Amino acid sequence: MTVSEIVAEGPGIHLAIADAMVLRTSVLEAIQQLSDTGKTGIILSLSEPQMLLKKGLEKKGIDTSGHLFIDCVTASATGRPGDEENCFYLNKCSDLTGMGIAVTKALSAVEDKENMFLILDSVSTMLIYNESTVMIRFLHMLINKIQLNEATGILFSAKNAVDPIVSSQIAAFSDSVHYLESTPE
Amino acid sequence: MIEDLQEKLDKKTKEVQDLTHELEQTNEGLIALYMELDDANKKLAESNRLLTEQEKKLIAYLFETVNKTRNPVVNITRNCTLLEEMAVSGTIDAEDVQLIIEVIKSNAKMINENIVELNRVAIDGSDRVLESYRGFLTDE
Repeated sequence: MTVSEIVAEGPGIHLAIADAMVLRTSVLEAIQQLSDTGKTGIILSLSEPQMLLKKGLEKKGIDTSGHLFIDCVTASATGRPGDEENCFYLNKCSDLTGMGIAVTKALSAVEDKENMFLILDSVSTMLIYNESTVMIRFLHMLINKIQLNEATGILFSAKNAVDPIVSSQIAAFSDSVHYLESTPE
Repeated sequence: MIEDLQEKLDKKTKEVQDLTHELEQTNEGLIALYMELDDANKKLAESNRLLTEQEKKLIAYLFETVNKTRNPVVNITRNCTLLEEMAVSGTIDAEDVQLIIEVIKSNAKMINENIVELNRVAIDGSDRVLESYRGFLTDE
């Protein structure tokens, strides 16, 4: 399965499982392809600071000004939040309440909700900082929000990095589960 | 003649009664034994069920601990790769380097904390480890 095939599936919740070494490339690829279709994105990043993600996207020629970022890394790693306008900075990756509020605010800020996507990078990183039961509840809430807006949601996760029971619970909430090829497109 | 027969019949009847009484006692003993066995089986089944639950919890705990150590390593590798790519392509500045290294340090700190936590459990001694596992596994 490739990122293109997931994007082609359209609205819905897609769980994308990739080898850790190609996870970042796959995330960038997904944002690029969804952006190319004219969609506005909400990018929830727990693995990489927004500034670096943005640089990576701009290197691919993607205009990131229309997208909204929720950065859970910068403040916790550096002790100080960034100052980008289209970004919500959270102090820690375990702040699921803050994450939920940021997602709600980001959703409100997007005008064309049917033409919207949400990327989560990544479920496996989220599991480092949160108890699995609490994380499942958060993801359920997040998925409901995406589904209510008939948007596209891609939840990325590193391969073999999530407890199979937890994985199967997330898969049950998702419309489809995809195992991405080890070689990025 | 009739009296002799009656006497023999009474004797046999008495023997039958004695045997019946003995059989009843044996049956009572068997019933008690079966009840004991049934009780022991129930206890064994319950013990097995608890053991399975504990094993499940132990596996879940180990998986979560492994993940909480492995996933930061995955993130460090990812950020090292990013650092390498950006340095090779010449698209990196001092601020980027500082940010990436701070993310790497944050993940390394997390690995260290997890190892310290595992060590703490290990050096508590076998009896206390078992006790702490028991508390953890049974949520007591």
